[in-house]
Parts: sequence; structure tokens; C-alpha cells
Amino acid sequence: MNHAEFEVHYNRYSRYVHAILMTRMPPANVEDALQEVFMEAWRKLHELREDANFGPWVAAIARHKTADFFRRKRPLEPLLDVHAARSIEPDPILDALQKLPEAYRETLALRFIEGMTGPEIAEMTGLTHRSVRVNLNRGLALLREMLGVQIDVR
Amino acid sequence: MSDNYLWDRTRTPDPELVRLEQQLGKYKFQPAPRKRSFPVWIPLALAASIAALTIWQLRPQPLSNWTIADQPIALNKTIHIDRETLVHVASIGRLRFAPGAKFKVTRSEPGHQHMDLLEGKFDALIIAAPHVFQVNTLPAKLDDLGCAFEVSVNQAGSGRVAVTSGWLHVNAKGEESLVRQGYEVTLAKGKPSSIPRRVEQHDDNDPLTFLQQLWRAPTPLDRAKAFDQLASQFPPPPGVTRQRALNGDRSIVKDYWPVLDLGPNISLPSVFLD
Repeated sequence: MNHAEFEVHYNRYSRYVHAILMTRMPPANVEDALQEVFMEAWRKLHELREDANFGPWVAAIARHKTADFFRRKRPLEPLLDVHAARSIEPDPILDALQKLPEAYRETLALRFIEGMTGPEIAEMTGLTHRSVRVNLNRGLALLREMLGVQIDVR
Repeated sequence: MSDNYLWDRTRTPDPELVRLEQQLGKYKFQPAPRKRSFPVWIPLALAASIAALTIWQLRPQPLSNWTIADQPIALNKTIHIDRETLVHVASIGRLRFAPGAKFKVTRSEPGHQHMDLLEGKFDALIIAAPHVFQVNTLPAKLDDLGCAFEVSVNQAGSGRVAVTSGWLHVNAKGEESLVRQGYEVTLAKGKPSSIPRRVEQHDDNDPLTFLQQLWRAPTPLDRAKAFDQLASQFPPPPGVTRQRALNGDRSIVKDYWPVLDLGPNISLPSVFLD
């Protein structure tokens, strides 16, 4: 895979990776982490056997990267703070979203953060339409349960 | 709530979902903006250049072979250190930075490990062929000749370099100095470095010194002495014996290496494998 081909994948899957990261780490760190995920993907391209598997593969790198983030949070802070003297204001809705089960929060993030439709989410993630529907409905129900008042206040 | 709106945004928008979209949509991924500073009538060649530039901007940031906590450091990315931090330089050594330091890895490939120290202080333990590891600072360029040293510079370009093992080549304002173990020079922007002078509190007890003595000692007695000094600080692993040192068995260095406190990622330098 050359740079141009990699860019195609970057353009296609960056929203997916972004959504995964958004459900697992502070927003201020997501931009750097996104770059790191694709850097790692580029570095490990030789491990990718089928180009068609790039999506699930880079998604797995992203999930692993967030695990690293929390496992090594203290020693990594100087690196992650390089570009970020950004203030982080608490966001109860995002906090609640991050507490949902993995399948629900990623699907909801793709829907509400990235603005994708159900069919687009299914195509991006490889899930069936039925699974995406279930994740959206159950995830939203859980989110409402957790937030209740905040969502209902208009 | 309209399931259709949740699914594909058809039918009547559900106010609750719209609110969620607004609340969470502010975090939406924002791709790097593509430069559109050229009018549309610019020749195709220029358009191609823009495309190439965009690809270049979107390329994965190249990584160095340097790591912090096993995380690779991107090339030419300024790293701010806010606490004592260990940086591994490929497989040739490690740097221990003091809080407040700023640096960049500017080149990282076999035979060339270069960095800019923008500000702050670190001590280095490098075991590599001469000139592989280089440090650029505002007042001077430091060229490692296989050694351990401390360097500090401030924003104004004043600094100090002290060599704790081996030799260091210092080039400041075109004037070159060779600084040997136990000596230091002071640096000032736009000026040659000071004449090397003896550091009063020199530590002769670092494992690297002993290891090199073990390697280079010409006589069995010298090797035994180096072995005893090393063993007093770092108990030898099974199979590493004084007798092997006496016999001039050079593979002892390879066997000793893993228990020395020279950094978890460091591999045995080739100089010891000759």
C-alpha cells in the first residue's frame, strides 16, 4: 500500500477511528491520538494481510491505543500535552456516552458525533443493519436512563 | 421518538435526537482543511501540486526509533518534559530529562540519531560508534564519541556540558573542543565553549566505565579489578565469573549486560561484539 492508497483509507476511516477515540478518552487528547493511531497503522502495515480488513484492523489499533492511554496516562502526559493547553470542560452527555457498553457507545458516537446514518454505520463497521438498529435503540435508551433530565430539558 | 429519524434521519426530526446531535456533533471529526488558496483557473500542474501537498500533509507523521515509555516519538515534534523522563535513543542509549526540558528528534536512522535540545537539561548514556548521536543546541553542537554526559541550556543560549564517561566533541561558534571524562565546558550563544576544566565531583563508579575497563583492560589483574568493581555494584548473573574476566573472555560483557542498569530497551552495542 502506498501513500496515496493509505490516504484513501485515512479519508474513509478517520471518522470511525475518531468516534472510537471519542468514546474512550478526553476530547482534548483525541486529535493527537488519532494521528498516533494512523501513524501506528502506517508503521504496521506489513501486518495487514488484506486491504479489505483495514477498517476493523485500524479500529482495533484505536481501541488498543486508548487502553495504552489509560495504562500509561501519567508517563505519557508530557507527550499528550504537547499541543494541548486546551481546557476541558465537563460534558455530562459525553461522559454518559463514554460509560455505555462498547457496542452501543461506538454506534451512538458514529450516529450523534460523526453524524452518520444507520446504513453508513453498518457499512463502516461491518455490522448488519439489524445490529446497528439494536445498538442505536438500546444505546439510546440507556443513555436516556443515565441522563434523563439533561436530555429531556429543551 | 421516530425510529426512522434515528436510523437515517428521514421522517419528522425528533427534537430529543436533534438536541443530542447538536450536543455531541460539536465533537465531530474535522478533517485537515484542504488548501484552496489558488483560483480555479490555475493550470492543472498547480492543482496537481496542491494534491501532492495535501497528501503530504495527511501522511502519517514519521516516527523516530526513540521512545518514551515504549511510545515512539515523532520526528521533528517538540516534546515538552514536565517531569523526570527517560527517553530511549533507538538501541544505542538513553537520555534522562529533567522537568522543563524541550527537545525534538530531528533524525533517526541507523548510524544517525540526532536531536535538538531547545531548552532544559538531560544526562545521556550513549554507546555507539563516534558521531552517531548528535545534539544541537542554540550555543553548540555536541557530537558523541561514545560516552555519558550531562547537558543543559537555557532559552538565552547559555549552558553547560559535563562528560561523565568517554569523550564528547563540542563545536561552538566554529571552535572545537574535545571534552573528556571528568571535564566540563560552559556554553554561551555566539561564543566558543570554555576551555574544558575538571569537574570536582566526578563519579567514576558508573557501570559503563567498569564495563569498558573490563573490555579494554590489558592485563588479567586490570580485568579482575574492573570485574570486582562492577560486581560490587551489580552482582554478576549466573555463569559470569571472575575467572572468565581473568581469562580475557570477552563474551562476559554480553552476559553481564542484561543486569546492568542501562535501560530496559537498550541492546548490547556492537562495539562490545567485535
